[in-house]
Amino acid sequence: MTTMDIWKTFEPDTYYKSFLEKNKRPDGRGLMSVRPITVKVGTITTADGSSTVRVGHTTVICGIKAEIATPVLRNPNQGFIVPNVELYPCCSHMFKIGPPGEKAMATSQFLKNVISSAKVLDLTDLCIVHNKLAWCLYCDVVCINYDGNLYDAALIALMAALQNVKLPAVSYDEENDKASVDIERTLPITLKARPVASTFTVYSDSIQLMDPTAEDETQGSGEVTVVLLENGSLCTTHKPGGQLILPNILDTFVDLAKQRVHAVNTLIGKEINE
Amino acid sequence: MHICYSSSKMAKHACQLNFLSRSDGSALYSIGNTVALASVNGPGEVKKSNRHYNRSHLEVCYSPSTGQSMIGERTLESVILHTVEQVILVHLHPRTATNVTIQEMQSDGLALSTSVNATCLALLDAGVQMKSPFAAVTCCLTPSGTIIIEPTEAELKESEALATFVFDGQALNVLSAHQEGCLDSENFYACLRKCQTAAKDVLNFYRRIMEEKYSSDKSYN
Repeated sequence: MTTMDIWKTFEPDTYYKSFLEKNKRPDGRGLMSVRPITVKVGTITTADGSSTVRVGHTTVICGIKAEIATPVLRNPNQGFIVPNVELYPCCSHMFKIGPPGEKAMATSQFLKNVISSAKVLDLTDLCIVHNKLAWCLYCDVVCINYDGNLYDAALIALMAALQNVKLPAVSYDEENDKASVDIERTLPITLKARPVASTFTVYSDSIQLMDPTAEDETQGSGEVTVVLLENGSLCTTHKPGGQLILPNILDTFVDLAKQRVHAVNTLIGKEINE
Repeated sequence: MHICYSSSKMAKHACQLNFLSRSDGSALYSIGNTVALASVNGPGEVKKSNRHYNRSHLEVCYSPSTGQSMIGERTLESVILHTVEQVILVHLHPRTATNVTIQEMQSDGLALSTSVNATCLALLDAGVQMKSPFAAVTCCLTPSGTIIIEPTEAELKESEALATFVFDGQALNVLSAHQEGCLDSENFYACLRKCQTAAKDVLNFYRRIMEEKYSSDKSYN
């Protein structure tokens, strides 16, 4: 063990602070630089749409299965989209076996919120036959390696998988009340918006970090996530407690997030087209 | 033991402290037609698995008025927990646990802000040490561009976006933020400023409640 490793094990707080004083993080990044993102689509051949995303070491897989369901009476011409996030013990020592914990539920709710706020999908597009048949997209987002910034990675994975989904054509025989699915003829779904999330960790009144790793999140005192659309409008802001911030700091976050939107969407677009 | 009403540029706020006789602190609080009952117990006994050597363990439990507790309620608990964690002086009570239980009595769209404010009043009633009180304000943006503070459920249905902010009592900095629906930057900051101003009224309301609680012509156990 080197002296640095010993220092990191026995005094993680002062070790981390010594980097921040020089405006750097232990992994060499500056305070506002982001980690490289890799996106691959179609990684799960048995799913109707899938993607694998890596943001630094954080690895998230999203698989989408489409099932036929009956629309609810209140919205007879709308389909469903059900995102679900799983955090298994394999991704980090923080998560245990059992029902979804707080972080998994919070992330699932976040994805639901972004999809409905940004109006990513027009749910009426998922309707096959009014009041009888509609598509239900079950989106399973699984994290297999947790190194911070789950919200950004989960949203990128979900958006990439949605753009990879191919729904088979369905023909409905009214007389016999039977639906038949033609797997050979498939159509992609049209997305109306492409939101991108950017997460920041607030370490103290004067120090904020962009795209935190797991170490940054443990050392910091709270995360702030801003989700922007391509035209720069704010789709969701998520700050569940944590260190107090001045409103003008939110300004800085939104400006930095704007730069990220274009980069991420180009990356996903490139992958989809290949 | 008594009810106070706030001045009304906003919806009517009402509160009754020490509503539950067996809790360390409790508050029955309403904004307009949304009513929540918050109860605080602690710092007190903690399970071995939750014991921290240097702080108190916080737990928040939220029950909706109808139906089972599902993912929406769990995220609400998570938001309230992280908000409250920042404000309570947890390091003063190592190896203890503080429980906050919130029961939604009536829902008219403002579940988050009513629960947060009820929690703050219950904590004040229980005498739990905090850095400062905190106030939550919800606002929504109508399609015509007006910002309504503390809208009703009907107004929320018609709105394009809604935002809830929680501010601390000292400098009115942002403690928590939650937004649904799209807002462009200008509207977002307009909502933030309006909520900040409304938060001052909420904090004054807390002050009046606490002054009445400790006023000399009442006797308290």
